[in-house]
Amino acid sequence: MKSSMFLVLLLFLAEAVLANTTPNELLCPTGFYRVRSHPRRGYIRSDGVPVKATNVKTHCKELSAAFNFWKPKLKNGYPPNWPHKQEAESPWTTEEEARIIEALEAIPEELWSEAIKGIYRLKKSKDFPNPGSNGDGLIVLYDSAFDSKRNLARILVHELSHITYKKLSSKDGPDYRRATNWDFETSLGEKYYWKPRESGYVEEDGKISPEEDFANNVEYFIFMPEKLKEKTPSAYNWIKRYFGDKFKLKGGKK
Amino acid sequence: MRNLALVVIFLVGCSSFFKKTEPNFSFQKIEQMKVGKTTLPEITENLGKPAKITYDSGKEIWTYRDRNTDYQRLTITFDSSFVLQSIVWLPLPHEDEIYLEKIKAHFPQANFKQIPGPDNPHSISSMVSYVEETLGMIVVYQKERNAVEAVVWTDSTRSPATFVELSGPYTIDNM
Repeated sequence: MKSSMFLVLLLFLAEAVLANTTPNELLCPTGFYRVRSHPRRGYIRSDGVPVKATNVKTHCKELSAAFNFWKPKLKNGYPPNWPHKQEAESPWTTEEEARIIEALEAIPEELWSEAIKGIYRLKKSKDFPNPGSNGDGLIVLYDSAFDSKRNLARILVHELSHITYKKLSSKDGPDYRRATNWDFETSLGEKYYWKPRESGYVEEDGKISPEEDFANNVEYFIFMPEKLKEKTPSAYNWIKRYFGDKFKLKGGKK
Repeated sequence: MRNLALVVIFLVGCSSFFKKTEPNFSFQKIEQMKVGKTTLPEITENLGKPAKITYDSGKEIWTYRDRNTDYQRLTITFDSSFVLQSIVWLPLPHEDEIYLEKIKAHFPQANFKQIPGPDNPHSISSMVSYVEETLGMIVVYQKERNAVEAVVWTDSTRSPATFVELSGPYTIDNM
């Protein structure tokens, strides 16, 4: 009898304490981090499943390898030496931070690179509606990356693949270009360095350079492998050989 | 037994005789070719037949590949008189000339001017070119990999400014 009265008192006290704690002051146990309450727009999850808009309540989320690796790389402010000065900066919102961590958790770790110095948030691309840009180890995401019809993980895979390409070794770079039929063919007055192969592109802009082609091909390998296999089997085979069989989205269908 | 040994020696001799030797694609060798002077028969004599011949605006373009790796090694363009118009040479990973400093060391008197690489709407180029107008030479360098992608020799009468103008669109690459 005595002990049950003590338990009731304890519950009463706990409720009183919680009632005086606003949700955003929620303390999370070790191994978890706090996600503050925020309105969330509808979006497409990395595995292609549409997620409805909702008001997310403050909650604790378990720390993940992706959070530990990427959170310090989410930078506010203007990316250093960014050449497109007409692109204005925009701070990360809680919603966007939660979305980007979720997307990065799904992306294969083969694309996580220490060479990435930061992921920045700018408002609008000079080439609107382009959702993301990259250069010198920086990734920039624009408002359009968070549109409800876009798959953020897919945008990130594309941008991360650009950085991966730039870091391919002096053996792997020529090997990829040989496999996908890119030759360096220029002279003064030519408009390109690399002569694009005549056909077999998953996206037309792949003709810009082997780097753009590589980023498109890796993106399709992960999100639309059948189309890549059909359009550019040589790229599909090269990517499979280079990254290995485990190179796929984590925790979701392809 | 003695006859068998003779047959083996004969066969080994034959295979050595017919074995194709890899043409010399070293930087030093290719550098000796002269734009506006070297002719198609001279190139054939030195390097043999190319792996691929293509045509662009009536000009013949020959591409040679490394026999071991199949990587692109050399692409040369001939003018309508079959005289060398441009050379693109690509280093192999183990060659000294994959390093920019090694290339520059070949030309101590040269004055290389840096120009930005080609722009891509959403990917800032990590390639820069070093142009030496007098030598009619461009070294295309990949900053992120610290590696030379290609060395181009071409008509030395055009200025780097013309090159930038003709090869656009470029943005100032200050990254």
